[in-house]
Amino acid sequence: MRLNLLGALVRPVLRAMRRGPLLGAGSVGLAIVAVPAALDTVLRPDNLVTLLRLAALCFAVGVAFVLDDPAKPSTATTAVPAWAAGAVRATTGLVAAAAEWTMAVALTLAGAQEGTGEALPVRDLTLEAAAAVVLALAFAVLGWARAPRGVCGTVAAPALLVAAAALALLPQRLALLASVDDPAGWAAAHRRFAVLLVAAGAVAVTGLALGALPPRTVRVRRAGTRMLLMPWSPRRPRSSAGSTSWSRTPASRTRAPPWS
Amino acid sequence: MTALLADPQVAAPVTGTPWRAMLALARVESIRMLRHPVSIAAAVLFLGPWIYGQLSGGANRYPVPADAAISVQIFGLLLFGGAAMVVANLGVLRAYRHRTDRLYDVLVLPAPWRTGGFLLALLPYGAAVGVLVGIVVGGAALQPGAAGLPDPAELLTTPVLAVLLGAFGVLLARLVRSAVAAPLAVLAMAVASLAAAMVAVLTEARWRLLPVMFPDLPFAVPAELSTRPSWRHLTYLAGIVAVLAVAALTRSGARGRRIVVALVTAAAVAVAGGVAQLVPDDAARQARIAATADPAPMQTCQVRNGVTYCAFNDFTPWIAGWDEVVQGVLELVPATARTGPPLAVRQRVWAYGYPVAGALSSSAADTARATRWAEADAAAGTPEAVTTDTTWGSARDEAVLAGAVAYRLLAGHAARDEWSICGARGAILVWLAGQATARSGDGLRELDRFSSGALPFDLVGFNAGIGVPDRDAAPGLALLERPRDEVARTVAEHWSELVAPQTPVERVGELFGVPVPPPLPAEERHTCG
Repeated sequence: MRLNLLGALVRPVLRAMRRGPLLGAGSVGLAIVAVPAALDTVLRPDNLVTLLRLAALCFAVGVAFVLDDPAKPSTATTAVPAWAAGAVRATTGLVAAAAEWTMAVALTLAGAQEGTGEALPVRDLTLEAAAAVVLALAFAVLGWARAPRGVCGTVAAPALLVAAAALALLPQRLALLASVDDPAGWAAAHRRFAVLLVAAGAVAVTGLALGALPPRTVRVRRAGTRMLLMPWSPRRPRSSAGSTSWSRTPASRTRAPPWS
Repeated sequence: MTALLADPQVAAPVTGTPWRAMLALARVESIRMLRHPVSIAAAVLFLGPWIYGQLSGGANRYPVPADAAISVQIFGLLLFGGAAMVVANLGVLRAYRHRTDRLYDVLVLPAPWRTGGFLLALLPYGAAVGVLVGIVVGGAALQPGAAGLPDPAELLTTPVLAVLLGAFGVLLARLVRSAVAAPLAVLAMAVASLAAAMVAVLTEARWRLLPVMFPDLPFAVPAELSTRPSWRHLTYLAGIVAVLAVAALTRSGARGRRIVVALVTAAAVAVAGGVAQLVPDDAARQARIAATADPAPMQTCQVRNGVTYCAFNDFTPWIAGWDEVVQGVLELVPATARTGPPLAVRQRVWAYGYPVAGALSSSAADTARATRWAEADAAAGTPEAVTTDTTWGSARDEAVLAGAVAYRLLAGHAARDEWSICGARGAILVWLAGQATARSGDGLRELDRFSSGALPFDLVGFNAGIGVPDRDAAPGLALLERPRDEVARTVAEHWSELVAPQTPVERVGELFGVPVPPPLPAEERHTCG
């Protein structure tokens, strides 16, 4: 894989990307921090932290959609490995999320009153936001690897919200969403966030790398026919594929999974 | 090819209205919604903490089911409402996502009927949410120590909220053809809930227009004092569901007189319910004034082991729990300590005039209130009754009641004009409170951990209570590490000296050989008494 090939890939992939989810999620996230900043209510540091966390989740929801590629069935047959386009998309999503996060923090600090801005541990909050965004990317990669049609945001975004709800309900001794008023709990929670970030990053990179594997061929039990199926398609025709009349296979046999 | 041509006969299409097709779609979609991974995850996240509490024994043995049905609403709104919104939205958008929507034009079901099928599919979803809420709240109501029964309208509110947000998810799918909208709407809803929680003062009637009616007092009140118009609020929510449903149908292309009639009816129900819930409930207000000034006429009294316990009718199952604590304290003190009138415990609620967040109360006002209440107690035949509240079941609650009973025994009267208990009395009070039951020691340490300056014995919903300055509480906490009987013997021997207000805390240190922290600088000292 030569670098100039990657360079040549950037422009068409960027043009093919769906910008709507990224922009929509970014604007909702920024509105979450901008509205309280514009009002003259005085918020406690704890409230500002919660607003920033929710804004980060919005940005992460946007990133969950970056790998959506309805053209996957046709691009899968090109010579360019699948991970290359995925990497371009993931990088774009991460850069966009970083820009949005920077703006969100700047807005919050500008709107914070009575010195609450200085009390905000921006570095640790950035770690939390990074963990959320990379977790969204990991979910998107897992969905992308399993989605024959290349639409994975519909799986990744709800999965991210479920994960966020589950993490918010963790018992005290495993809590991730610590309060700024509890320094010991805060430090412990951020060690856990670092672990989460690394684990999610590993899943995302591994998932993308596996996208570089050649499409698996499946031999259908019918003489003289070789069928090329999409790699990782969730349901492969099983015994029905070998029946005498291929065209009469009932459509209901190849049901979509419940989340599609 | 011959095999293909000789296809079996296809059943003739059924003529008539698309009702049957819509119901068939609703049936299929409801099953898909219920078995969607997000729905299952929401159910697991809802039941998980509850099951853990049941299995680990951490569940409250003295719950207030009416309060549980209310407090589950915000959690249910975010969890089940969010899940319903995402799942319904994904379901409606499925055809668009898979590029099959254009094929629908040849099917029997026109677009508005299809939307109707998705809206109907939300009803089994709501029923499933109702079952889960019923399990959790019903589990609380079946506890032997449960106080009263939940309000059916409050129980129904959570499933209706889930259906409401599901209907919003259907409408959203008809407005925005992107799966990103629903997750963002869930997050926006979380922000709105946070904002509502930050406002904190949601006691005014107009806040009832929010989907969830926030409790107007931070503690449970007996059912007869509730001012929540729960049925009217439920009507209001049902009206909003209907408006959202009609909006989704209209957006899918439904037109005609029937839609106009449906929209007008739905809006009328929503407005009528919304306005009706704003009407002030004068009877409940009068009941609250009466119950705050003198709860005796609304209460049932029981005598156990020579102690009179008076509780609101719903709360009588708690008397056994209170008695355990009171007997625990009485066992620790000598018989001579039972001075004053016969011991009594009375439950109270500050249901009218409770200072909402931000309002400050002075100790003079607290004393005036406590004196008025003491006069009412005397008139009701239980002079110098120890006050307890509508929260019970935790180790902390046991420690607070034990502290109040200990004060009553030390001082010979109920807490009324003296809020800071210093000297040897303070140390002995802390020891009595911590030694009363097996759990009260843990409760006492918890109170100590979350306070600074003094160890507070604050009842929930009374703002003020007695407290022991940290320096005087320290020897008392140290005594808890000593053998109970040995300390009790020495306390009994020196009772009259130890409970005298002028005895300094150093005397406890000498008698028991426990360390006493050095005195604070004069300006940081608590004013005693």
